[in-house]
Amino acid sequence: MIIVKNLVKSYKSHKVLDGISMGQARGEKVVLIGPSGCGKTTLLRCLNQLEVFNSGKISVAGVTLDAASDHSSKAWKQSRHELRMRVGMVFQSFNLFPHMTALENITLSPIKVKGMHAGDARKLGMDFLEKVGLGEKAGFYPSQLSGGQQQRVAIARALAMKPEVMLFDEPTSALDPEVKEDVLGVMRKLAFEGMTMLVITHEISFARDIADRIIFMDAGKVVEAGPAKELCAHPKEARTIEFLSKLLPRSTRMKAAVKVPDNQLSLEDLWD
Amino acid sequence: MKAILVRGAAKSRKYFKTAALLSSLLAAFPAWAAANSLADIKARGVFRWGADAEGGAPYVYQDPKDPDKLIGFEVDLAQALAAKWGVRAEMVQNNWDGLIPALGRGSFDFIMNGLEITPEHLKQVAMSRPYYIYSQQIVTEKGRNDIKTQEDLKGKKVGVLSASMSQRLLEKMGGVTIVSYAGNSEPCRDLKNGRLDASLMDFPIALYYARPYAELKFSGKPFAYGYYGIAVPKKDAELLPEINLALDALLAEGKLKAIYKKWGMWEESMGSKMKHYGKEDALVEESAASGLPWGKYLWLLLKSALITVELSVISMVLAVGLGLMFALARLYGAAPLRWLSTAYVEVVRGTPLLIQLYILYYGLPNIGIKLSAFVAAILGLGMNYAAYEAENYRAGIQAIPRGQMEAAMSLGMERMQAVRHVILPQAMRIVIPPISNDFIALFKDSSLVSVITMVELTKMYGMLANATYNYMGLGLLTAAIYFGLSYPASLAARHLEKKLSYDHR
Repeated sequence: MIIVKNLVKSYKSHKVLDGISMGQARGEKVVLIGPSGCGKTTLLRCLNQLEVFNSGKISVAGVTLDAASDHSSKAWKQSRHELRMRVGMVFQSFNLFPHMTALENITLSPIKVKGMHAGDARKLGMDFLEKVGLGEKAGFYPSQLSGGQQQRVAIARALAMKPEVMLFDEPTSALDPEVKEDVLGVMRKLAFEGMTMLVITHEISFARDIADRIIFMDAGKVVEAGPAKELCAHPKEARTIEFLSKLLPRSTRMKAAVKVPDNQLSLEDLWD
Repeated sequence: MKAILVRGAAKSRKYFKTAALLSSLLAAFPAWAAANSLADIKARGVFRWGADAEGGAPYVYQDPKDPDKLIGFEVDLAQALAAKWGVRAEMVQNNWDGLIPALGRGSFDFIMNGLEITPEHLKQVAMSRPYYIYSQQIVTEKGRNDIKTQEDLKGKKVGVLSASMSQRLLEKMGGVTIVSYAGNSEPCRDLKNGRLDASLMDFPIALYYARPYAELKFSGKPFAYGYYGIAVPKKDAELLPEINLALDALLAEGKLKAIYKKWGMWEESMGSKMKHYGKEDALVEESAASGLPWGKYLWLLLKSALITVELSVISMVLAVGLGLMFALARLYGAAPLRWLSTAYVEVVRGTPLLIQLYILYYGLPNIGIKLSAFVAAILGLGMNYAAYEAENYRAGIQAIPRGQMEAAMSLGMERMQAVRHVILPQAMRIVIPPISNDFIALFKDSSLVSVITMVELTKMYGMLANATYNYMGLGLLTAAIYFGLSYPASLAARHLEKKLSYDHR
């Protein structure tokens, strides 16, 4: 589903991504971890072309972009559009449109980009709002919603475009601890439904629960990658050990709370 | 009121000796320095006369060969008077329109600047014996033979100097489309450009402004004789007989004749007319505007306020539209577009609106583009404010967090779709206060278009105030109309701002 080959991204002389290669199968959940500034966010942003990379190649959901091809060509722009249509992105700071209600946030792109009828888009939007547990907030503006609610609307907004891959860039970092779980719950459901997910998070216990694999990055390189539980229990590289030692004690304490919630959120009927 | 004035005058005389000691300092406070008699002037060693040198040939104007020097027949006349009294002459520059009020404030001792001896001027100031006999001259394009007399001007579009005798004459006669100009060269240029059928001007003005144009000619004989006189404040009765004596002497000595001959303004018949002048021969037209009831003034002002509103609204619509285009081009356009819109904003913002208006209206005809005054006014104001609006939009758009554009693009929107649906609706709310502020500024700046013959609210006020000298009453009325129009506009802007707000906490 995702193939990254020798990806290099540099700002002037500083290499943010220094020859990253990775792969991810359809339905696989991968969590990216690493110290801040290690390039994980940049990698995610390259995958839906919010950043242009300098060399290497990516292929996401069947759309391939090669840094060597002409970025101003029509074909490139067409591929970039295709890529974005197939990839959903959730941002750390939600980035909801403040001048629109929760529902309008969700329906804007289906209407303007996919040309969906307003009525159909409304119905679709309501379905997704209900799936993230916010059906009754449809007419609320972002400023009237809590951070957790805003992030759930943002997830619904991305899902409404029916992406094949979902990218999450620290989706709970800006949230208070008591609402984090609402968002993580929605993400668990999504994982359970079989969505292909690439997630940057510091919630190591969440990662251990849902991730098939964890990739540890540092200084623009993949340091270590492996099955989630194995990498958490027996990290091999010194840098991984050092990084995890900072995260693990806290996550061990939280382990009890990191169970799939029992509320009846099912995303199953969203994919036909 | 009068008693207070006289007391005030006596007081200023008493303090005069002290004032003389601080003469340089007091130049800044002309009210103290205005002379009330020849004795005052002689004691001071200089008399100060008010005139407007801007477009003032052949009366008072800057010597084209040496712009530091003022020349003109009135300069020569002032020097002749100075020689007679044994003092120096000093010209004080003042807008012609405002000479009489400035005299009232004591900015100078007397006015000598083609001021006609008319009943309404005599209501405001005391005037000397005539020092020149002027007449009205029709000027047309060379090929034209249908306009030879005053009567022929009926039904035609005729240019005149604002607040001049020519304008009053035509207003009185009626049936003429009068286009009034702030200067003398503009009507000649517009005549050449085909915007006018004819221009009516004082003969000396015609000599200096119309004659140099090869395309123009004097049509018919000069008519409607009138007198220029020197004006002093009514309270300064002592100075007037001295001025009359001096003028009589200059006429008798042949000095006046010599001056006018030098300037090509002398006609043989003038000699006897000047000697035996009488009010009955003089042109004593009152302005059509003077002595009207207040309701009529209000009506005229409101009618011209409508023009102001029309101008401001249309040019603001243009400014807001063009401004958005320039802002988008600068932020999202390809390199040449970006460069062009940046250059546009900098150039337009960095040059005066007045010059832009002159170029649009008087300059463009040189390359074959003749805009009507209304179109030129709209384009001038609209294109000028577009530069400011572009910057407002740019600031508004840049205030929107980057994440908004990224979120929109991650949802498959193209850049321009994102700008339209996500960025602009948010930026709009931010730019409404500065744009409405600019609208109110434009509303008032629209008075500048009077230089290209548009008669809007301020111009109408100027014309009425000039005719009636009621600067205070009409001024307050005009200001009230401006405020009455701009305040609701700012209320509406506030309402709109509230309506577009999405911060519903």
